[in-house]
Amino acid sequence: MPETELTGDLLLLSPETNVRVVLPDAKPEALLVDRIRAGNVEAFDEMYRMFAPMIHGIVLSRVPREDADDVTQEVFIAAYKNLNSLRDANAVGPWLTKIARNFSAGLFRGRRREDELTDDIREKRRPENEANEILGVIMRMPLTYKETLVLRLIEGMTGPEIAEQTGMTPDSVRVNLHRGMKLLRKELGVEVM
Amino acid sequence: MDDYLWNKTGSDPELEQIESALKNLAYRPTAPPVLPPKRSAFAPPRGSLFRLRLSFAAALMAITTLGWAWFVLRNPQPAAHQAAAKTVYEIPAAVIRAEISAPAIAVSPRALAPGKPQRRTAAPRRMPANAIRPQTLMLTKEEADAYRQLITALSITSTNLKIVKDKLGGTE
Repeated sequence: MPETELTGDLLLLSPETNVRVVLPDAKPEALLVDRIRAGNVEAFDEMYRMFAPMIHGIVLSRVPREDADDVTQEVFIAAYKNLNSLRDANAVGPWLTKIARNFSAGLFRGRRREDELTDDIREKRRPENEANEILGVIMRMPLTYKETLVLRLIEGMTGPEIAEQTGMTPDSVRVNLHRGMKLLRKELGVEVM
Repeated sequence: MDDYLWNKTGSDPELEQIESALKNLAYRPTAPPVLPPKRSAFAPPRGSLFRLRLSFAAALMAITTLGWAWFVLRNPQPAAHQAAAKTVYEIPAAVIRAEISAPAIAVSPRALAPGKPQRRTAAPRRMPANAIRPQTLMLTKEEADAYRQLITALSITSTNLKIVKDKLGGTE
């Protein structure tokens, strides 16, 4: 396979022509996709480490907590199997986000998350109870708010990071965070504060 | 306070307390999943060569089908075969009429006058004197079978060509 020696640029493998083309505006994750397509397993592990917290957050906002880890892994396997459907290697994050949303929605459609959490709350110790209580309040919010809040409050991502990885606009993220936090504070009152 | 919510700069004790309560729910690094074999993971890309091959295959199939149908219809059946055919099938006369007389649309001279919008009016359904009169074709069993096969082949060809067209057009 002919390879071009160009430093400073990211090289992407074009599967059709079998030559490498230079995309100066390519993101680091695009290079990872290139390496994964070339059969590099370490590159996939790297991508997993890069996006797993974000995917876990998206999954956690849709499925029961105890299933979140398994579903996160399933999402990455599904992504690996469908890597050919990724048109823009620069948009790996939004692409993974979409897969995670669809995958979670398909798996747990129709299940009532709040009921399960209510049962959990009775059984757990105090610290767990508090976490579940807050999570339960978040889960009762509209989907757009709870997904953003989980990414921010549980996964510890900043607003710009959420926008960058999920493909949402920074303005949308900011609005979701503010409105979501307003609802959360109202629901929690003084108990947790 | 808003800065802390947005990019974790500054301080917000209330928010930090919530974060602290929820930290146990966060993602804990785990080993990456075991990947399926590469061959099943990556199907061949749909490149221009793939499209070219697909088009060529579809065209070849269409030509073969039409050629075979033409051969079956044109070749006269042996007399013994015809005599042995006991059943006679009839193609509806309406089908034959539709093939013989194309839908006629006439434009009246007045409608063609300058300054007036042209309006298309349907001509009365009248057969010209020298036209082939509608008739009922009586087919033998073999001919009827061939006729059905031809229609089926044309239908398959049409479907395949539509698939190719959709693939080239990027709608599939």
